Amino acid sequence: MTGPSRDGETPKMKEEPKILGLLCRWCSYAGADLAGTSRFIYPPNVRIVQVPCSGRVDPVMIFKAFTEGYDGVLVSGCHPGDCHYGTGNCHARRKLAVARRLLETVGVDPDRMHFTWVSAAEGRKFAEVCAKFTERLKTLAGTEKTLARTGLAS
Amino acid sequence: MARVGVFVCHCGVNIAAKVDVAKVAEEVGKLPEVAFARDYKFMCSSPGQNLVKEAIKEHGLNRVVVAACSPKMHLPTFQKAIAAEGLNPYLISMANIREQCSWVTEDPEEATAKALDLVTRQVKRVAHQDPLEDIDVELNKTAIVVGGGIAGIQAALDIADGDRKVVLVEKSPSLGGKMAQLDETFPTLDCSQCILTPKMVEAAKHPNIEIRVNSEVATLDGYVGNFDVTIRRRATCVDEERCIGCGLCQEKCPVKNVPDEFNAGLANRPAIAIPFPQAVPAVPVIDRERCLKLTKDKCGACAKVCPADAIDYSDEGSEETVKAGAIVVATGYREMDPAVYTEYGGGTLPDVITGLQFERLVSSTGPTGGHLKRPSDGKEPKTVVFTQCVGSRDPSRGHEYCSGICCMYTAKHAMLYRHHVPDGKAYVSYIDIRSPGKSYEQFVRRAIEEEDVRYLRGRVGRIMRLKSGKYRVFTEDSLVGRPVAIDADMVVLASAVEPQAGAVELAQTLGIAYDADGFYSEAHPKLKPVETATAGVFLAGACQGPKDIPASVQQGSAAASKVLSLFARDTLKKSPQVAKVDPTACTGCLTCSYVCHYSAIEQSEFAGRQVAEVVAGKCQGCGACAATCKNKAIALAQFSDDEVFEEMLR
Amino acid sequence: MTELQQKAHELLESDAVDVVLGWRYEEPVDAVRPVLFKKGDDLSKLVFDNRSVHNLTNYLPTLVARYDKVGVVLKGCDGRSLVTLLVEHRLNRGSIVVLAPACDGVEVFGARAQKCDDCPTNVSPVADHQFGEKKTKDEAEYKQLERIEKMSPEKRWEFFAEQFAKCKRCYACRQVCPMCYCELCIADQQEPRWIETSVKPSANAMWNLTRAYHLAGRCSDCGECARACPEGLPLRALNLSIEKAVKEMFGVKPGTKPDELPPLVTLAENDPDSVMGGEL
Repeated sequence: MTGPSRDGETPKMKEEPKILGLLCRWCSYAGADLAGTSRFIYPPNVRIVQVPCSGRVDPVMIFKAFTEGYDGVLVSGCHPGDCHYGTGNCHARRKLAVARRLLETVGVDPDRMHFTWVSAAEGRKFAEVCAKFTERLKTLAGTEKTLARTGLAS
Repeated sequence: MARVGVFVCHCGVNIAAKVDVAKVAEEVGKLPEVAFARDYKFMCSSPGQNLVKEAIKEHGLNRVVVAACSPKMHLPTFQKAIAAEGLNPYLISMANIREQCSWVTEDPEEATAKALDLVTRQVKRVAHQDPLEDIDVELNKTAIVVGGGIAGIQAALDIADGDRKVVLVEKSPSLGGKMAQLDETFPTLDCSQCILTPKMVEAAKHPNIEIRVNSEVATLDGYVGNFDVTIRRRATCVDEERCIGCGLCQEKCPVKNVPDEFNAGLANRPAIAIPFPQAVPAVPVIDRERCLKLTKDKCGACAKVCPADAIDYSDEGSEETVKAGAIVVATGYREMDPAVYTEYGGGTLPDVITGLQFERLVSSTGPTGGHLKRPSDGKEPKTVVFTQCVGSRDPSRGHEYCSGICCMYTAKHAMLYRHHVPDGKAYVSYIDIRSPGKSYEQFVRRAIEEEDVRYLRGRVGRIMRLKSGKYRVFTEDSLVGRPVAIDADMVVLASAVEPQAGAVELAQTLGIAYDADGFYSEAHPKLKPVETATAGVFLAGACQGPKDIPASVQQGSAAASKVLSLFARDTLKKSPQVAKVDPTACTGCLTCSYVCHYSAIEQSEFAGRQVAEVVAGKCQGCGACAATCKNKAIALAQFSDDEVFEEMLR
Repeated sequence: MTELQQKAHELLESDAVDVVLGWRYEEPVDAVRPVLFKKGDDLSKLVFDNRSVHNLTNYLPTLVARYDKVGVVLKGCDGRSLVTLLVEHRLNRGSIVVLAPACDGVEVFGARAQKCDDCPTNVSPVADHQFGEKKTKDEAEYKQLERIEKMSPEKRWEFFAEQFAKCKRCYACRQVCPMCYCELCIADQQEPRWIETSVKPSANAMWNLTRAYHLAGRCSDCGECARACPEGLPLRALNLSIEKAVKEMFGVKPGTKPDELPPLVTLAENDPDSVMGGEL
């Protein structure tokens, strides 16, 4: 995929859109693994970064992802009530809801940020989420003034 | 300067069929951090692991990336391998190029490009990983079991047999719980007291178990391995050490009309009483609200007749603090009061009784000596209707959940009734029959097919008292589609299982979670049924959710096994994935402490100002605090901002 | 002397406070500025009028470290800042004495400040001595946001892209904000460098978005950041959009309750999933 890389030596990737996936270790990362074990095919655009809990996700990371050329950010955690750490997913929900509103205010399509619950048993759901999110971002591909992305990257 | 070794696994054809692993190794080798890179068929195999070890030696590697299956599969494998070579086991990371790449990507070119990207990210990340050491937490090897019913007794015995000390705290005057009130148990019709009392005695006599009856946990401080528990004993006015259990006091007590809790209100007891004949310990307790001496300074008969001089009216109760390493909560359940069902009499009809009350009527140690007699007139009931699901499966006025034990005990009650009154008619009004346990279905079928218990599928709509003293029960037989009215002498309501009174307050004292119904929350509904989110606090029995005796015993043993494995070593080894505050950067706003589910962040002081401090023993490593801190004064090891940044932004 | 001046004088004379932080008119510059009045000073020089724009809570942490008891004159908006500072343990309530005059609005660059049109309470919610009548507006109007909310997303982006391009990264907004008190601001951190120091639109956007997000549930809309910004960036709009979101989604208004926890750490279990946007 094309896009700014930070040190120049690393090869560039072809696919667009470029998606960052922040997945909680206990549910969503395991769900993504299950998608693999079940051989559910989905587009190669998502780059998964494991976090211990969706509550570890700081909206600053999301803003940074957008300013560094990601077209979309997917955050996935345990279903409410099932969080391995009790209530981390609920804190994430609140923080990300606020971040989403802020992005909306400055004119960045809030749908570029998708927050979902994927349990360790939901391999199919994870594959579907990746496929649908990739599709959505393809339709959101911007004009030249948004640098084909959020517009924050420049 | 990072010297990363990268090992790209073929995993046979699992990865290699889609990903050009040789190319990935070659490209990654060009990164400035990478000192060595190669591909190999099966990294997790012995030769595969040896490759890693040799490369560490030969190339002076100080970081390792294995690009293979999910870290959830083999990260510990490779951690052990590098540790064997003297490299800190936290200086490795894995790139998931199988489950999250080769197995889910159609096009080989795209799969290869994605794999290369994923490996590159891990190289950048691992270069920012720090060596970490597992944390040693000191450990006190005493367990507190809260609740002296069958689950608590089982847990206490198993822990004590494992050579560890137990303090068994029971609120009421005796061990035994609900099981002591039962007559015969399903599916064997074993005598409940007969199988329970040996265990009660064993617990009381066990050298490793200290019993504290009439006691409750007042406060709990500390963390796993290091709890400080305050146990408060109620004022009983009877000295346990001196009492010889002769029972003279309760004979002579002039107050005879206190509703007896053990007999579910069907009989009375004196103001000083041993709760039941087989009580362990068999020491009476003075009811402070009914005793004439304590309320009006009159009488004093018990003190006069006591041959052991065990009565002490000045007893105010007492408190003690115990240090413990683990807590098992086994506080059981209570039977719902069906008074809310006014259509069933709302508790005003004397012969409309609950399941527990029926148990007492049918028990030989009960108020009627085991003879089935109506509470109203003492006559033998010739027609009894047993109603299931009173308060269960009823979101409108009761509980949404199924209480799990009523189908079975109703079948039992109906059969016991038929044994006691062979010419009696027994009807069971049911919605469904839930009999999943071993021999449970056969037990219910026996009631229906051999013991002539008549099962009618339908809910009881109304119970009306007739002038004759009988009760007209309006129900239906939905399988034939007809309403049914039965004139019964007695109705038994299978009333729902509820959390104990004070369950929520106790949960708050212990710092454990509870669900919307008030039952205590397990750490994971499938995989951690006896642990709570609070490290070191375990659950057993009906306090976690309605369950029968075998399941309660299972959980008692399960909780005990958790405690014993916790106590197996002299120190607790904890993952180093914990948060830490840099006190020079911390502003002391304590915002992080509010998001911590484990109450692991405390207010502390540094250089004369308030700062936050993480209690490493309690921290479970979720990182919510790290996400909350605005200036990153608190960091989570293994998932620091640095590490996440590198992985995100290669 | 006015009642306010009289009370300030009394507090100093009786040693109830060591200093009173207020305003004084300075003739050479024809402006009022924040000053510390001490015992024996002429308190008829204590000014409180529509020129008293500064948010004096900014000085409180330093003053409280230096003096036992600090008196301070706070407007409604400043008082809301104080509430957040108290919730976040920046100050001990017992170290300050709040003089809370009813505020009629302040002037910025010769015109009534826009924030005053939106003012929910003209008297500090934390007050030891109140002067004048309290007026409360129940419904927030967010007038500042109206213009931006009416724009289409594309226009909004155009507008903010232009604005972020103007940002000089002077950090005046941060310096003047009482909520920006971090020991080492995230903007100054290098490992990792979440916010690049170079003045370019993406880094400027990072800075402004991050600061606005860090103010969620804390910003009292004192408007000082907007006043201090040399480029006139619409900072109040950014902050208000979050305040509005927090109020709508979680029912919380910052700066109203000193004994309540901040909204981003509380009551999270019952939030509806709808706050996260829709299905794919």
